Amino acid sequence: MSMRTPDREQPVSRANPAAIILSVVIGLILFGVAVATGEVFVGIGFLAVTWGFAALLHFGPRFSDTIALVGDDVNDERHVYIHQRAALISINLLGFMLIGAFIVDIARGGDGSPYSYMALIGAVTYFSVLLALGRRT
Amino acid sequence: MRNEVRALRLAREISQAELAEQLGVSRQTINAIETGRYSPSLPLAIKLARFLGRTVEEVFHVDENS
Repeated sequence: MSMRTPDREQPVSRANPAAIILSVVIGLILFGVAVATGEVFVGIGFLAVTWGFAALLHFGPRFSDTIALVGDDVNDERHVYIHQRAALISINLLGFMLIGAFIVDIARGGDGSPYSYMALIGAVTYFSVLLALGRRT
Repeated sequence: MRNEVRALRLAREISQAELAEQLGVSRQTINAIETGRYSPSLPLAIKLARFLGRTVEEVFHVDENS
């Protein structure tokens, strides 16, 4: 990933606009689903939480570096580095959990699916990306 | 990796926030660089050194034992 430092004219700490838009859209979807099932107040609650989160992502980075990180700020190279490490740790943990779930399912007499398929997809993706990046970089 | 960023910044009487704005990074990134918690990329290290009027080697010192 390029560690490009942004131009001075750009805001320095800000959440990724896609994260903000996604929060708003998810809020609308959840509101629609809740209202469709007759749960209006639950829908309003969903809207309040998701739109409140979107507002936090929009205004919060000015005051907090942590909020900028949560909002997937990729304008600062250090934030990109932190996101990469967080993703690496999370994926490793997920991998261990997948293996554990597979073993538990086998021990219970199951066939290990869908954990085995998920692990296969993960392994193929990992090695494919490894090969591709190994050639490119 | 040791560095002289804080000393050079203070000699110029500018704040971390001002330096961060000049370089296009967050104030927390400047703080992390000054305290040695984060090593900047080569482009950022060069920008930082140029802004402080020094060479990269004068600003950043690689630990010989590392």
